[in-house]
Amino acid sequence: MRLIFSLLFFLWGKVLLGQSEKCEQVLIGQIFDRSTEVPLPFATITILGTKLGVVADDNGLFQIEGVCEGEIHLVVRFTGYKTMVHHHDFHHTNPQIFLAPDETELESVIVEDSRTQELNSISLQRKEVGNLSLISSNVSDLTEDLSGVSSLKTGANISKPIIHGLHSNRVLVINDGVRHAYQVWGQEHAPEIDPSHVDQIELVKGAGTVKYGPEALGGVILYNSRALDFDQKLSGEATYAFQSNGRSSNTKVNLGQGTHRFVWNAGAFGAYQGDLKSPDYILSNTGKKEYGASFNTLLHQPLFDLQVSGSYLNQELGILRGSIVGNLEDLQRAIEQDQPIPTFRRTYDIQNPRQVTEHGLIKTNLAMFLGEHEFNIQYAVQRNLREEYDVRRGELNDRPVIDLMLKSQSLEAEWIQPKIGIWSGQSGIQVYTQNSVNVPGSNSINFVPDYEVVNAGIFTVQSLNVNQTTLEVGGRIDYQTLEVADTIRDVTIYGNKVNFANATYTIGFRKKWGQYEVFSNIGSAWRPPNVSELYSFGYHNSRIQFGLWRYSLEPSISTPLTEVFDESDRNVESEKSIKWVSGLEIKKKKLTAEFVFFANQINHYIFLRPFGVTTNVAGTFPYFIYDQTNALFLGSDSDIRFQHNDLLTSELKLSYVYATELINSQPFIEIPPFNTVYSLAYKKGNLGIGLNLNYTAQKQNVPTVINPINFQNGNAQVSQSEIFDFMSPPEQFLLFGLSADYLKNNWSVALNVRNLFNKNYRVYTDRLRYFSDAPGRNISLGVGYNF
Amino acid sequence: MKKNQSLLFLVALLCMGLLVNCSEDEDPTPSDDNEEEEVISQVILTFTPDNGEEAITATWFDADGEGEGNPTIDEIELEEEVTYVMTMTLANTLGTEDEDITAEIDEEADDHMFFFSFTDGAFSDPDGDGNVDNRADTVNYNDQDSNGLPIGLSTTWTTEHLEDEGTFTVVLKHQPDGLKTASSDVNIGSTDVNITFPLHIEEGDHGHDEEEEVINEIILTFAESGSADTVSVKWFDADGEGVANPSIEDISLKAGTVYEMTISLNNTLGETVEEITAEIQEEGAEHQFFFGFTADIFSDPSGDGNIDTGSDPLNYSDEDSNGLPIGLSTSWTTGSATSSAGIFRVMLKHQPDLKTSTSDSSVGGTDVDIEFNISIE
Repeated sequence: MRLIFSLLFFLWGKVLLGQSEKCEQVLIGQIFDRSTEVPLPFATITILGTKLGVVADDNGLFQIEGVCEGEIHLVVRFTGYKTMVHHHDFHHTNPQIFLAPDETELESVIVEDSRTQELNSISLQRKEVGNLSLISSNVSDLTEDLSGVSSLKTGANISKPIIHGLHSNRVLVINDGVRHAYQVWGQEHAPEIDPSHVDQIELVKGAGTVKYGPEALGGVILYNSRALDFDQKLSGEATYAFQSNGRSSNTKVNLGQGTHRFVWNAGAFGAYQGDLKSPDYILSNTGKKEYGASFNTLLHQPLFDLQVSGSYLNQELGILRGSIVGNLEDLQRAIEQDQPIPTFRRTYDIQNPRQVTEHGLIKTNLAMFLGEHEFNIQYAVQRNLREEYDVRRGELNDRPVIDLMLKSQSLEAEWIQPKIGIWSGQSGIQVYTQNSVNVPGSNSINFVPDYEVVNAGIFTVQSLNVNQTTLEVGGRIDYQTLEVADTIRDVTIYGNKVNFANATYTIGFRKKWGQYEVFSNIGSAWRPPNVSELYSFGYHNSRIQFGLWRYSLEPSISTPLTEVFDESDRNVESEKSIKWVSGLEIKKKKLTAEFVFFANQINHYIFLRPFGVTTNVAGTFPYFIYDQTNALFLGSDSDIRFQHNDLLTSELKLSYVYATELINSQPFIEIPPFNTVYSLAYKKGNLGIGLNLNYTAQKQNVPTVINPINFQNGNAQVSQSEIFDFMSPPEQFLLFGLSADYLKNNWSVALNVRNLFNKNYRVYTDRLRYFSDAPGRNISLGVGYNF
Repeated sequence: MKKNQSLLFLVALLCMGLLVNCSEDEDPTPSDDNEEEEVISQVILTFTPDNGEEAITATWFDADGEGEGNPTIDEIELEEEVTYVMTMTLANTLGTEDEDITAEIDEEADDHMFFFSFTDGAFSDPDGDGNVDNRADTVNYNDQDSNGLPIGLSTTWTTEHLEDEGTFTVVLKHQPDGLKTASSDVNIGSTDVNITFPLHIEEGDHGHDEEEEVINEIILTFAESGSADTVSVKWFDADGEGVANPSIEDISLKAGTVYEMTISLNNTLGETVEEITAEIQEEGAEHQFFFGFTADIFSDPSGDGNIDTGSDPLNYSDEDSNGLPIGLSTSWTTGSATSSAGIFRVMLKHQPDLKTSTSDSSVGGTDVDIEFNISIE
């Protein structure tokens, strides 16, 4: 131990000495206008306390050579713009400085690549949230307009991202740098992330497994909080937004302050929403109550950064009352009727069915800079509570049907190696545990057993950068255990511990030819089966389903009540995928475009397979068993931006996914249909106006439709190899939207209209599409004040 | 170092303070117990559960001792599937000052032993009915006298499910002069105490926890009016939500006869049968049964039942708190014609906030929708 310390001190000393000796550092950056986001020529950049200084060229680019100190204060000045002082160190590169015009309330900001983020950039897409957060109260709303991302919904309040046709356990959600630990197996479980602290979203469309661990088969979404600014007076913002649909109020407050060495910010938000309304009727019981808070602190020293942050969110989400059906005759009636039954008067009250969730996160991150080396150690604790209430008999209504508490911890250590010529890279070790228990008192058979997941992974990503070409190679080894225990009806006690191990890789390149850039990435990913896929039993969400270890096919199908199987009865392989993503990017003066193509083959893909028809007390139902197959997902996303002139910009986005089961060559259910969004933006000074058109086609290539009533009548048979749906996919629709924003001094105002013409439509990836139309016109008005 | 010492000193002081306090709390012991009687007028049983919940006490109290008045006896109310440690306090309350006899028995433990008897099966441990009838039967004594023989002032009990009221008897035998041996039973020595408590074991929280909303057994009972004859048919799904299909008995009724039909619903999937009928009765205001049957097999109600049209006739014999029908009890008059291939369908709708005088079978979620074959002979 003592040896290690001496070694550390030795290195430390060397670093300090080393740094003060040479004046060879070079700083390269670019200046932009914050309001128009076009390069700003001829601004002056100086380094405080030195005689160094340059003027940017006509593209806003600048280069300062001969910098001695590891840390400097950059001063950026330009007439008509707010002067900016930026604390810069050489652990970050390529500052992009956005100067704010004098007359706006905008603050000048700086975006810089952390050295950490340089890697894995081959299929990374970034989006600043900005003003959007003023009027959206759901993190999934924020990602929806990234091309290639859509939402799997259970009504308007519950929404989780779909990337390239995959969701839930196959998409990894990273919140504030930490794997978001929630009951991810449930399609109706949305990630519990407070949207108000999200400042930037990053999307990894390629297989992000090497860096982020299992489950990233579809991709990775990173919700990043706002980067902290040093040397900043106590300042803050307060916003209030009203939405006409649901008559909701959202409000949030953020405060922050930064000195030379220490920065903090803290925020709180709340949302209160009543019943939403579709064009023709009230969507009863779709209210929502949310509140949350977050904080972020950063201590900066020449040799290390220590960050401590945390967030808390509490949600109560109503689910459409008319989506509760007892049997298939009820479901048939719900599909056929004009409006959901029952429909009550509009109210802010939330009855059953509803979900009450809570999520808390505390994270601490230590980044150490040892010469050219950077070490990151991160430890995070999360606590996730989920209570789901259903319409039950009498007093049981006060008890949740599902009541789970998930505690999670993660520890990560990362080493970012020094850049040697063209070669850079990073490596790390990650360990996380998740422990979920059923909270007693729900008065129902546990839908999933108590479980504990322990994962340990070790990875490295290396890249070579020659002549505008980046080559990236990475590998990872994971070891994961799943331990479960449960008691069924006081009679059957079962427990099991299963181990999984896997190796994954990624290989890719990115090459730039002038205004064109191409990239291609192949990566593997994996995930072990989850508790629901292994152990669920019986009726859930209008379906009777049996987990892989709850049914037997020998000699004929049986689902014993008091017996639970294990790997000796049925071997369940982990899902393993290979995803290939390629793209072309064009960056011309007026035209920027990105075309992405992907192919993703998943072996041992776990899905619900219809198997037969059974009668129980509420009638006759088809039942489903979890089974494994091979699946192929193909598709493409495009994003084309054209700047007509200084004021007008057009953007067109298209996304398409084709998915097929490979063994019986048949389509899967709830794969997003073809979607295209066109938007036209006008921007002059402080005023922005936008128009957008969203066209969604009727999903083609869908499973057979069998009317639910036919099962009840005994007229329909289940074909064991044929996936089916209860209703044809919803028709195509075209939605219009409007937006406007205006900035004056410290005030900002944003207006947004969704579904301008109050059109009736349903969404194929909304699990409540059987029961009601999507919400109608929504006008939201937000006001923000900066101080 | 000096600092540490002073800290120690402080701690010591604190401890001493606590000690002093403790001794002050002690009850003063009476020094003159000349007037001691051998009468025991009060016995308190204290059951302390191991699940951290509050202890349960039951008191046997005879206000006039050997007088003619009857004692008051509490019911012992325990919870199912809980392990209790039972301790006893015996006292004579007849004197001017209450006299604790427990300590006395403890002192003379070599001469005393408690025996217990109880309703067979009331406890999973000890099982059986206690050691009053047979000394060798199990009772879990926690205490011993100087000869290593049990006393019984402290015993351990794990409750079982007890359907009806039971009894719990405590017998204290005085077996002096070596009468108390490893095999001395309840017939040896004189009886100091022989008292019996009513015993009630209620469904515990734990058992309650696993209560499901699944209904897998429904029994229709047709009671013939003016006769003791009943026809009972059962719909039973042994695996609940599992894939196996239910077994359904056929209904066979006499022609031209008036029946009162009652429905009982159960969940038999757990360790104990859970009756759901009472629950539906209690929450009658949000439930209603609807019936459908082959047209005109009954003369009253006529027609084919009220599943298809809510306003069709049906003879409900019960009503909820709002005066609306429930349908756990209905009356039926079979037609005079015989019929062999009829259908009788029973539907239970859950209509919270929705049940009105006009809400029909299309309203609310379906809890039950089952079908029987029916014949009229």
